[in-house]
Amino acid sequence: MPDDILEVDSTPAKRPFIEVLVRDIGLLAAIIDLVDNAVDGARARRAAGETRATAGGSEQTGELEGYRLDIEVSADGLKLRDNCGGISVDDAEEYAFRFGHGAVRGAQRSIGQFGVGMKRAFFKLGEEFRVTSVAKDSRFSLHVNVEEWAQDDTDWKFLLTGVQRGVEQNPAAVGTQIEIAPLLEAAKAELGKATFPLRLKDEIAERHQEAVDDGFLVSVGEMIVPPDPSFLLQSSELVPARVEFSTTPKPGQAPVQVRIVCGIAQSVPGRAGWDVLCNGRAVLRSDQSAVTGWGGDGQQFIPSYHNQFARFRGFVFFDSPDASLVPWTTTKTGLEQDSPVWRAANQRMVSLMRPVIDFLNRLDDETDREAANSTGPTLASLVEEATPVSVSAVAANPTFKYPKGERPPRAGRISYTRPKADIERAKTHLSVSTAREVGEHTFDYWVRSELD
Amino acid sequence: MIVELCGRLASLGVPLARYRYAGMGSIYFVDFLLFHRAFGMADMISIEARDALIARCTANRPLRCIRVEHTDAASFVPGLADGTPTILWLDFDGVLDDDRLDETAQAVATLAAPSVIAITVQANAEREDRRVQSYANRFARRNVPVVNKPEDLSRAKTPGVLYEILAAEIQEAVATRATLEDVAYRQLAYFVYEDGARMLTVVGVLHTQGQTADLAACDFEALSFHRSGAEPFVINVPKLTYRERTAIDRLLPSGDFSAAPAEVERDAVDAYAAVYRHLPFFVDAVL
Repeated sequence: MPDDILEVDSTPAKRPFIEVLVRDIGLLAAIIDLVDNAVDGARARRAAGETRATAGGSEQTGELEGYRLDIEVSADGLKLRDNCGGISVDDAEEYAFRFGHGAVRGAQRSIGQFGVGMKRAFFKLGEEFRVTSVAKDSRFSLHVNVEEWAQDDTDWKFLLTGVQRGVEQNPAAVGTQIEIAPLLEAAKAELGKATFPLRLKDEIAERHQEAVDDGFLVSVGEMIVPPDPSFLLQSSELVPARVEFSTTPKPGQAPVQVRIVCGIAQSVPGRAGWDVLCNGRAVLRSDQSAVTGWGGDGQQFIPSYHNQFARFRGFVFFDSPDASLVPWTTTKTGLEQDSPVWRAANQRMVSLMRPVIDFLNRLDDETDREAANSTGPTLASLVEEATPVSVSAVAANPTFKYPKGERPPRAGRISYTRPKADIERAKTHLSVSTAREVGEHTFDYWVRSELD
Repeated sequence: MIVELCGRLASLGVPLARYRYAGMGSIYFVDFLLFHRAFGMADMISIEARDALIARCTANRPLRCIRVEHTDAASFVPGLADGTPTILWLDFDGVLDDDRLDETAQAVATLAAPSVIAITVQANAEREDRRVQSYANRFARRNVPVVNKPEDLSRAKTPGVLYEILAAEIQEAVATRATLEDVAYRQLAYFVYEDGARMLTVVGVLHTQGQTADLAACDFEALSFHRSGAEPFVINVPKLTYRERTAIDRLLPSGDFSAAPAEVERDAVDAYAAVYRHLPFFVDAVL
């Protein structure tokens, strides 16, 4: 080698690598990464044609019925046990314990993508971790003491033990067990709190409601994450919108499927807004911000969220066999807003939500005008008569439909305060009983006198 | 002129009679009559947002096939996402601002390919002391070119500034939509003219990539008023008498203008010759 050339060793040191890896993720999110793996496993098994008997012995129709993940969490450690196919020895060798691997082999719609989630969770939480995996025809165990492993920067190997490859395993034993214990001090303090299991259960519901609604059973201690499927109201006159697109971002890459569904549901302010799901995992729930197209800065096309839109529900599903193509951040808890596929979906979301907003504005006007007493079907009665239909059952329809009828003159609201004594005198003079009527009469009088 | 541009779209394989025409016909419906006479389309919708005008609009419909909808562009445009080829003329009688750009972008996002989008806005220069602030207010939500000097929004420059903003909005909306769908856009015309106020109209066609070759066959370039970029076709209608018009008509097309009435300035003769085929003939009549 010539004198003016110098080789520089870029092999990473383990300890700062570990510290960098865990910096951007919270404890809950780190555990959710482990839940992702179980959901991925269940979906992959199901896609491969496997069916699982439920605990009751009967086969169910829900896509993920029969698959389960049981989590135990305390200051002593974190245990996860699932029956979702296990990690094969081949996969363990090729990607599961390698840093920065590609997509999971054979997965149709995996959540794991960046090749860091499981390892990051181990390093974030524990001083030691143990993995025991039984796949269809292989098994292994792994025990790592992180402190000891971090000592030698030149040896990046993990040692699998009890390895069997090409040996049919007992189907009842198939699955993955993870134990992270003892915990690091920071994790111990947090996971030891009495409220932590509840928070974890809620976070799983927040992120993985779709899988749970599909029949995937998750327990945290004694608690079960409950199914809570989303519904939209539908009738012959109120029809939710559903559009679908498929795009291949770059030639040769996997396709991305985009499905947008929106309409109205029960009036629940906390549930209104857009849900955005990437490969089944929610990255936004009930979003009411400008990120999903709600207005601000005086925008007229879509107004800012207000409780009169508490019936609005929208769902955007991004699905791809290549999880790196769906618009989420590396922590999978946020949306990659600069992603072209997100921007295109967002453009369409805005046009799909506008008719729903128009309908809800009319519904609100109707309430204001007390038109419920008028003859003929009112918008409110149409809502009452509509029936819930699950989001997945909404049929293709390019725009939310509702009976437009005659549009009433647009009304605005004026509100102001005046001395009560004057209002009472005006009531007497006008022979009316409410302050509102005083306001209406006096305004109409001014319009007649000065404008007409 | 827009009718003539649209007529050439027959090369895309959809007969013009099957297009939907959507516009803002007000109480006169001039554009509706022109399109119906030219193509015979029977799906025509006129939108009107003004409460006070809606009854007159409905009563003045000159054709049975025109449906008047009491709505505004923002509510109307998303409903056009039903896959029907459409000629949409958003004839805004006001100024261009963020809200009009939102509506334009949504039209691009929802219309089927092929469809024609025409956008008309005022392009007047404002009072010098108000120009910069008004510009900033109107486009507060967008990254538009920064304007610091009133002279950059002069009468001469205003149409160009507004055109750039409008064209950029359309291009961005097309590019965004093209991520999920096979859609492209080609500008067909950019007019600047006086209609009580100074106005600009940009006309373009949304199409699929597969229709690009068919668009080439439309031979838009053969039309003198076709414009694909930022250089407008300025419609300048000279004031001519009936006698002067008919005299010039006899020299058209491509005749020797030296034989035109000598008392009419040559500039006026040229301006008339550029638009004579599309000019209505107004005569005073006492009934």
